[in-house]
Amino acid sequence: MTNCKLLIAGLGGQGVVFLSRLISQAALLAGDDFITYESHGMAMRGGSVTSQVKIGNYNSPLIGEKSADILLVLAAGEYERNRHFVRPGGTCLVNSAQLFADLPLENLMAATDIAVDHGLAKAVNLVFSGWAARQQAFPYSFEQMQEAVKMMAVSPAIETANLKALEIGRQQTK
Amino acid sequence: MQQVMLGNEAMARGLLEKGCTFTYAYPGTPSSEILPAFIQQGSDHGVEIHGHWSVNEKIALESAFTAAMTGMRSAAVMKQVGLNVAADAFLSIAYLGVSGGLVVISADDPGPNSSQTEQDSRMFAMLAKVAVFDPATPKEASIFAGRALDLSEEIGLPVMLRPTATLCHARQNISLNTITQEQRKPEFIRQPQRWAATPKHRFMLHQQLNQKLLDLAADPRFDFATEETCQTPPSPYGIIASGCAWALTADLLSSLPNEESRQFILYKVDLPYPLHKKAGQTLLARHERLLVVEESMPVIEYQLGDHKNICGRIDGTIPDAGALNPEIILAALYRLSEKRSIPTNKDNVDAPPGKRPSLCPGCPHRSSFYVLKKALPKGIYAGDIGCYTLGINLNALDSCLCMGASISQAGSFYQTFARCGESIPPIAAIIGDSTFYHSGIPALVNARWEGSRFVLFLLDNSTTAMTGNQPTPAAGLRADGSQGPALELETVLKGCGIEKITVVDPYRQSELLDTLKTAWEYAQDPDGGIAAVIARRGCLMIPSERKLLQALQITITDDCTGCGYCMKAFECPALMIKAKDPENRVTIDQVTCVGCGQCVDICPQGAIKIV
Repeated sequence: MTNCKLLIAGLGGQGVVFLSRLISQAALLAGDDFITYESHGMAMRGGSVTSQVKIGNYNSPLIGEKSADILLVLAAGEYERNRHFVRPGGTCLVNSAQLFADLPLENLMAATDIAVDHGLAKAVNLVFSGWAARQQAFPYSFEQMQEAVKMMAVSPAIETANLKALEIGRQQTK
Repeated sequence: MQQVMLGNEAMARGLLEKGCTFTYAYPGTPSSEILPAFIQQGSDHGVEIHGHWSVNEKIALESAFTAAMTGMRSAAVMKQVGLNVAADAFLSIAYLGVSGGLVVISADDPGPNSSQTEQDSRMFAMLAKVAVFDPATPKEASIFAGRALDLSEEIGLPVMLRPTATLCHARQNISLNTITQEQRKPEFIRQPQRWAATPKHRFMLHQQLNQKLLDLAADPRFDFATEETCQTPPSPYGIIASGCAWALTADLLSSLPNEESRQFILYKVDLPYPLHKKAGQTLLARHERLLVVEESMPVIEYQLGDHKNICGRIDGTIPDAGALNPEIILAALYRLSEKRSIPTNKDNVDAPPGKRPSLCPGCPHRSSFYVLKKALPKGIYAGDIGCYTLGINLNALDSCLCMGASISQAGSFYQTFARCGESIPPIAAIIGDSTFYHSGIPALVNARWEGSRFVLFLLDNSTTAMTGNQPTPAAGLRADGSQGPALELETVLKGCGIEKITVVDPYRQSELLDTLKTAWEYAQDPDGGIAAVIARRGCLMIPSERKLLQALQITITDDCTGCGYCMKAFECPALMIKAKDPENRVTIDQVTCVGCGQCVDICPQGAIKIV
């Protein structure tokens, strides 16, 4: 049984909620219990947004300070605001073209630039998660995330586009 | 079978599994997804149900109550401030009771994240003398929705289900039960002494209600201090919690090292009002000290009575504003066990503030506010509840009280200046279409009657945008997708006696500017009156509206001086400062830009151009 607390941070409209739903879908396919929380309403209008995903035997979706196993950041500006939620020894994976003094280079990925280069500007979240799924700390494999994308697609066209974005992200991993 | 469900969907599921046939709601974060889920899941299972977006919460509750008068099972769904709107019906219904089960779902928003207040609907239930369940997880909310229906029917009283935002918007894997067609048929038994009770009968009904509440407070099903939960060795410290506050506390205790967590015994309250009387007394006797953890007001704590050995919100152990989080509860545990050294975490103090919410790129309200300020400079802009509350970012909103208040306030601003012989500043009431139908209409009838003069600026984006684009009566589309009769804003305005009504596309800024100026002139004219300006353009979050938009390619030329006017006065998320530009010149974020072209004419240097 997987046990993992993930915090996903970004801006409204970036697909933070979609990404947390994708990970939950992967958890469902793996037969894991989970509970997640997403921001709605006013916060969705371009403001700072977080989603919390707790996989394992939990009752509340909320993640306390210094307790997240993984922090996934879709907008680099949101890293500083959320890093204090990560537990000692936890992992931060950040979509950023710039460097951070307290993060190793291999934890950064310029997902926005890559997505834009491939004409997938609206699928930054998927490009990023294709890459993140190859990282050791991530709770599910790339293949499990692929299955989750298929389960969640509302049309074959969206499925194809989303799988492509995920694959582009995966290829960024050496 | 397991399925991923949002807390709101889980509650809808619980209602359907227990034969709820009628659900009425008005959208409001965090409750908005319950009604659509009720209709969708009912339709997926082929059961005959009715779900409707009522025009406001009072009407929703009155409708659901009436269905329950006929013996059918029903639900009224709203957010916590919506319960304020429904209060008149809510307090009366507790006395009258129901024949079929009636659940009132009132979703709270501690924080607040998307509301005017942090009020606790359980406290409202206590005022109304309505029993209330407080679910902890989506799984439990699904079960409690059904329990609430069953209990309501059993005791013949409405029952409240009170989720908080953390639960409404949590997703969890849930095992589902079947949904079957409810077989019962409506039957109205005439009982005028009950359904139309006069004060004399109301007194009798009140006495009956009190007896039922006493019975519930002694009902073993709601005993939260049963032997079963107390097999662990005695500990000096007991924690009583309900709902999401219980879930947080339970997770926190399980994350602590054993030698720390075993000092505490956690008790879970399912029904915070009326609180099981004996259970409270048992725990006060069993433990040296008790901590009560609940959101957002001390409902359980007040009912426990003896406050000498209890800590919680009343003695300040838990702050009396803001949402709970693990850090607050951890600090409370330290206080409870009288450890002086509360661990502090300074890291978050340095965390920069988040990006504030802003109107979406392409939002027609942006032009409406930008032009309003130009048309009525030094005006008073009375605002209202909706996306357009964000007009405050554009410095074009002076008030935001509650649903529909923009019109009452504009009227009263006028009267206040006019009656005191002062010169009257330009006054505008800014209100969206859905809010206007919700509670703007009586305010408008009143304002005209009183002789108030202002510009009624109706921001008509043909939807309830803030809460996820629910339909409004204007187009007549209903919650279940069926088409009802349309009721245009113009028709309502004419019916309210408004004689000057102008419709304009807010993207046409110069036309809007002239219209607003003319409207204020009319409002000042001795033969004039309230002038309505309808800024009509669909919300781009509606896919069909988005398709209609002919996207333009926008660019910023070298004429940009980096003055920052566009970012401040227009605040479109697609306008951003160029990276590493010493003069802070602006560029267009092509990913965010929808190509609406609203920004083209605003640059003082003329640097924003269509390619």
